[in-house]
Amino acid sequence: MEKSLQKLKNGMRVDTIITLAICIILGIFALANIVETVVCITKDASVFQIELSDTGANQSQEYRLYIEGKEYGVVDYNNYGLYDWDGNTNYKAVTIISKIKETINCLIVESILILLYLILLTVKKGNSPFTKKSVVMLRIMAGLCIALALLSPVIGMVGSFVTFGHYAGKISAMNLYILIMGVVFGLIGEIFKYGIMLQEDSDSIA
Amino acid sequence: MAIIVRLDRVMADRKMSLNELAQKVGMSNVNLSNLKTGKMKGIRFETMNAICEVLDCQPGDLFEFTKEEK
Repeated sequence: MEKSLQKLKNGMRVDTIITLAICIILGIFALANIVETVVCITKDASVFQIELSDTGANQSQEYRLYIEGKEYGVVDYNNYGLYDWDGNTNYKAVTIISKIKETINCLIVESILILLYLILLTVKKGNSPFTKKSVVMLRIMAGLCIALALLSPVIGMVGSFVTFGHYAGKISAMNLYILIMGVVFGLIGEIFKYGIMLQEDSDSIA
Repeated sequence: MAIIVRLDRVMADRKMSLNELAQKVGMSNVNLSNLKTGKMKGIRFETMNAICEVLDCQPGDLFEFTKEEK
């Protein structure tokens, strides 16, 4: 038993380091997104341009976003091709909305990973993960997953309504998968309750 | 419970303290104290084996069964 636990702890050490590394990388992404959002807000709407350019392969073309003449990257024209009732488009608003969505997604995934890191840290320290605290953490992770699935389309809808006067959000299959993952996290939390009972029973045996 | 732990009696016979026994058996003082005072629900064969080896006794010396009156 002791040997198995030691082996498990060694394995957890690697998992903890990997989770922490992903947390740090996501944190940097989130911070970069926040900075980019602020920069986009401060810029004039006229500096945002969408141009059709060659990909260089099979004579295909793609839409690219340019900010102040500098290429920003390839964009989905379905998101940028929105018009208000007067026929005007607003690339700045769409860019800001997509940046806000990315930032929120990044922060939610970061929070989920931090909670996962805390659970792994408990096992690494040699304590049992079957505690009420872990159940609460798993429930929060489930809630965050559901928020991750629902917030992105909601922000898109609200953003397009405020900017263009009509709803233009879309719910993809990926949102549904993330929603299901949230339910899975919640169910794992419920299974952990059974683990707590077994742990309490095991702790009362010398 | 009908089973009474007589660990304190065997320890007193051997003149061994709780701390010393816990150290030799490889258990925490708290767990051993809980076992001694009958607060534990059970005991593993592994633990019993270690205690019997250190105290040089039989499992029967550690436990006593008394019939409870209903």
